[in-house]
Amino acid sequence: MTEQEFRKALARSLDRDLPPELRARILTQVRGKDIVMKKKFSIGFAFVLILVLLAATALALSLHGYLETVAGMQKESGYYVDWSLSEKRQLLDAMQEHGLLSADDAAALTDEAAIDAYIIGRYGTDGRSDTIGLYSILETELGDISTWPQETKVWYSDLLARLGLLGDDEEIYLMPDDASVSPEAAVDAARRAVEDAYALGEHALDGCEASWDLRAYKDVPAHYLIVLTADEVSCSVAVGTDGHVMSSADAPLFLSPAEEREQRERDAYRLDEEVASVIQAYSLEHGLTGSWFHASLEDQFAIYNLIRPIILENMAENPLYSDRQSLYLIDHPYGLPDADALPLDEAIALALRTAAQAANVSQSLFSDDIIRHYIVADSAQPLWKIVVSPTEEGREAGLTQWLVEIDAHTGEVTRTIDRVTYLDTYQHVDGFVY
Amino acid sequence: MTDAEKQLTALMDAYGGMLMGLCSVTLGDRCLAEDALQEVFLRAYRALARGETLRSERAWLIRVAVNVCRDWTRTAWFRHVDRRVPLDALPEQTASPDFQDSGVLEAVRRLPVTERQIVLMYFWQDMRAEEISRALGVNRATVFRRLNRARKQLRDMVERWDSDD
Repeated sequence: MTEQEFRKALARSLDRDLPPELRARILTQVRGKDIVMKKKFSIGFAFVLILVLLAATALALSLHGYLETVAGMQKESGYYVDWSLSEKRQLLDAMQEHGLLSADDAAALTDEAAIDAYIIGRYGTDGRSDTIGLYSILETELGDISTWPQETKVWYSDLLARLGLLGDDEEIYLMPDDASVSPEAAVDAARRAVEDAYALGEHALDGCEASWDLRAYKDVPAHYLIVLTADEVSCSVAVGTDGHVMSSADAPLFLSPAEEREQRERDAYRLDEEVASVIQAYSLEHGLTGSWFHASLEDQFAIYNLIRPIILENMAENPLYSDRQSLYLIDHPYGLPDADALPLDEAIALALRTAAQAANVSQSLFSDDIIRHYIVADSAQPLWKIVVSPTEEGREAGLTQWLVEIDAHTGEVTRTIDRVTYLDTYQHVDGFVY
Repeated sequence: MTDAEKQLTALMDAYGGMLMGLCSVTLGDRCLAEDALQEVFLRAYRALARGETLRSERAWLIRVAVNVCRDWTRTAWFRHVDRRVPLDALPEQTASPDFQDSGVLEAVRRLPVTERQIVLMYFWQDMRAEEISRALGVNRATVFRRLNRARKQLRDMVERWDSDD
């Protein structure tokens, strides 16, 4: 998938209009009428703001002079895209001075276009010059920040602070002081917490690789961030400067190893990727495009029969299984219409008439993009579940999707509901289109 | 309709859908996102009613939305609800997503919140780093750092989808 395809996929998933009922709710509120929020919040988290004094650390790294030059130019003129030719030449001089560019190579960069091509090739992201600044140069020359020694991180924080480049949402790296536990003690606390959370046995992680940094972040107190790595599996643990393992009780930013394990177990059974991959494989094999809810009844039925045993097995394996869509499908099995069933075209015609009547609009405002399922939750009363969608004209007129359920044997409409009402009513029970 | 209401209506028309997407993906819950958006536009209205001019209104609104979402994610309540939001629970889309789109959105949802927001602004809203920096109140280095971090994580996922194909 290319970046452009990624952008388009995001747009297809997210481009939408402000829901009309929300718009009306906001206007009602600003006109002074009482509006009750759907959910109540208490934004009463009390944090202690720790003011951190940064101590400049004298470092012998030869690149610091170069990077300070870059930082100075960024402070003065912004990012590379806005630098003057003389500033670009100043950058090349600094690179030469610090051994990053040979005199011969520098001599070959005779004009601005050549300099730009060289600098963008060395420091740019995706060929863009507006991404070139202190950080991209730092990352190129020193590697990812997670690999830097703590002294370098502290120097970086200090540099940003000195030049006024420190954003208000920035981690500030610190060196341990006499009041804080040592990094070794913090790493030890992290190891014990992970051993405990995953029942690994005492000292099971003594030999595992561990890295640490000490940082403060906005209103969150200074803390060590410990990363333990064993058998290519990583686990990060925050440890306070007093040595205690931090959890969500300290700040929502943190999860203790025990909390993280619980979260991981929930996540693992929240989205059933096995089911998704089976659906995707079937779709590719049979040339289906778009959602499988739009597939033919025969394909829906075939897919359902493939995924049902998988869902049941996964449900049996873990009581935390919570893939809502899968759970819904178990309760609402797809089937194929029997001889007594109302024919599909008649069911669709009935659904369109019913929805148009309920919405009090012309049937022509509904498009031919129709989702239909045959649900056999109750074999004595199979249901046609038909979802009709508005045309562009209908959408502009505020029309939404409508769901119409029909008793397939009697032809009686058993439910008619619009999407907005449905979601407001049932969103924590099941989805609209399944 | 007062002048402030007219301006608010224009803001809702121009940015309501975008902010709804941002809040929905950040909070992972449609009701929460709607409430967050209500709060965002209420703050905008108050500013407009005071006669303030919203400079760089898109960045202003995004910044307020990000702050509101962040405050709400800090509540104890938020941490105990099911934050998963299926596509169907988002407001109606202008185009139907396919399998790959769902995968893309799911991949973005799995990023940490700060990176998720930057990915949406950069890749979806096509905002420049400078504007993202203003909207989030962070410097451009932070924007790029988070973007690079997110890009690495997304690239792993994207490669996996491609190999699945």
